[in-house]
Amino acid sequence: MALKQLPIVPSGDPGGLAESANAGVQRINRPVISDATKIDPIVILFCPDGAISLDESGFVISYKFCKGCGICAKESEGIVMVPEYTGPKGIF
Amino acid sequence: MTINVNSLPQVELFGQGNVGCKGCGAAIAGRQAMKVLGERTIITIPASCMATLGGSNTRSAWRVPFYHTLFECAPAVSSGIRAALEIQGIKDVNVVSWGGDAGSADIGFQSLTGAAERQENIIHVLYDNEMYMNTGGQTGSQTPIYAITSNGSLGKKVRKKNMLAIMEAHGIDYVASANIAYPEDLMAKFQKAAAKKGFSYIHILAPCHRGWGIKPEETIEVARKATECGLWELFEVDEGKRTRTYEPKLIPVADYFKAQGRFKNLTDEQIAEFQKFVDDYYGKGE
Ligand SMILES: Cc1ncc(C[n+]2csc(CCOP(=O)(O)OP(=O)(O)O)c2C)c(N)n1
Ligand code: SF4
Repeated sequence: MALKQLPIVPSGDPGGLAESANAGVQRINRPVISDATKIDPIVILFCPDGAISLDESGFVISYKFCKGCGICAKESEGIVMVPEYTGPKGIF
Repeated sequence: MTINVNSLPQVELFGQGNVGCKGCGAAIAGRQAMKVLGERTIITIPASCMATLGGSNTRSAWRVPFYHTLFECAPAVSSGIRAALEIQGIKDVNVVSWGGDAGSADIGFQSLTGAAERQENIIHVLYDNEMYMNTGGQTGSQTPIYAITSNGSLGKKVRKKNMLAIMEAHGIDYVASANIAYPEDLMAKFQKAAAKKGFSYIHILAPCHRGWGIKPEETIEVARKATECGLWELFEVDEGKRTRTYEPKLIPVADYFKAQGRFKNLTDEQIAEFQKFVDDYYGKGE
């Protein structure tokens, strides 16, 4: 094959960090959708981890990627942060 | 030009699985940029947080080719990649070097100024967290005056070097400032830069909550205040023509400074100094 036909290969897929993310270990609070109709779609672009997406069924938060930073809940209505640990006063 | 959030590509070329801190401003900048640059992009990154959070060895968070360069030479590596693509007749690829403030304005400056002088067909991004964060938050030329850093507990003594003016002086095709709190503005600027035949420089304000002494969820809010108070003007210089791309509301600069731990020692006189500077600049002084 001529050199110029070679694809510019996407390098991230097999075994990549995006496939086996472990973002959850950082999470103290987790974002939960309380009212999807109030969510401002701009938060998709504010999430550092690409954890919020919009598909045919509406907004989806992926807990595989979400680190629980709280930006989405701060910047938009309709998302609230709830503690990951439910012991007394959130201590586990 | 406006960009509709709902019509953006779903594919995440960067962001998912990155090993950065939660609420990382640099990762937000990377995600927004990749939504417009698309998969026909090759990215080079010098030593910095952004290089680290993209992964190492065989594990990468990028779904485009990502080259982790030495600290001094990302724009030089990008220039070489562009030359190799030219020789193969490949024309539809964006070559982007993506440096931190140290990797662009200080340690990486010589290769940046060289590539700009040669009018290389690449985009250079400076994502600005105003400190050397990957090594623990030291003072650099992009640290603002008075800011406390890990190696400067009394605050910086001199002003931030004006990189936008320096790059503008190279007479390159496109120079723009951007801010992660204004994604549409940022993405429109990347679209323009990608269409240029020569060198483009985009300087993105991307707060780091650890270095700035803010909470992770305040990353966007504080970035927005920087622009709204008038200190981080959003503008572009498109082939010599300068335009302000966003009119700030001009909130008091104190709102911006008081939100951040690194400015906790700022006196009222020092804040007034900044306020006067902004008022004069926007023609609001008496
Ligand atoms: C020649 C050289 N000197 C020093 C270092 C150590 N080092 C790695 S990253 C870094 C700071 C990077 O700061 P910046 O470019 O502002 O990006 P940030 O980490 O803040 O995102 C330093 C000093 C290095 N890798 N190579
Ligand atoms: S909490 Fe942070 S990481 Fe999680 S979805 Fe919201 S913005 Fe993304």
